[in-house]
Amino acid sequence: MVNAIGVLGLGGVIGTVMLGLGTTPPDRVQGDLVRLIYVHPPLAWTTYLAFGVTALYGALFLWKRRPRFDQISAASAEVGVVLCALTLATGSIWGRPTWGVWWTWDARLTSTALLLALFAGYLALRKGIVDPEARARRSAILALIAVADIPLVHFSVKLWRTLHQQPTLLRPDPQISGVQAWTLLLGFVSMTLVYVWLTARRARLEAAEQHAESRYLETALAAR
Amino acid sequence: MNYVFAGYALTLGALALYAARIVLAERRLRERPSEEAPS
Repeated sequence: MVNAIGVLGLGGVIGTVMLGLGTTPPDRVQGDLVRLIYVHPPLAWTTYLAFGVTALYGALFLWKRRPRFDQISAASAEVGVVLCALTLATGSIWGRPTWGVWWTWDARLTSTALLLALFAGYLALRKGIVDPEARARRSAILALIAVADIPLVHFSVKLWRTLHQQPTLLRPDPQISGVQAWTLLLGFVSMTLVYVWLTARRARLEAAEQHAESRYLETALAAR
Repeated sequence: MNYVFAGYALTLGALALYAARIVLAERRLRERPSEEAPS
């Protein structure tokens, strides 16, 4: 099942790249730079999804105390950090020719950078605690606090006057149609599948690492 | 188009490297003797 999701995700990404770079037309205002829209918003959406799943499974861990929930939470956070960094990087690559700068302290950009810092902190916290129970509990609490930044990121373009453009798709009159809309949709679906595959594999690795860690501790204690 | 290619190459490259890291770490863990300390 997981491998089938991976294959579908890979196929979707290849399709998105072919349509995004080849079939779709350039924009009247943005020219070829519009092609980055098939990559950047899907990365941003999967970042929200990844950190939302981190918080959800963190809450489930606090409730049920099952290690499996902590493993999924940790896996999703790590994948989310990669996706969030790529969201910022692709946005910066689009911003340089459009705004004339690689970075500006715009509300959307700043709140996204804060989101990256918060979840990088989550990963650092996990590295710093040896006891698995305390590590899972404290990181779950941090995830529940950090996830509050997501609505701030999403609504920042409405709450403040920003350089970042308004939503293209999530509005009563979507500003995209035809092959461009279908390519963007394919980008969203395939990036979601890639996220699910990466998180499932990373959670399996996390479980194996935690198992190896506990066996090593048992062996070390028995040898004393 | 250079900015567009850079954006696509960075995204695909980073995701491919990250996926490879997960798969290789899993393989390494499977092949390691159980008493060895986790890295």
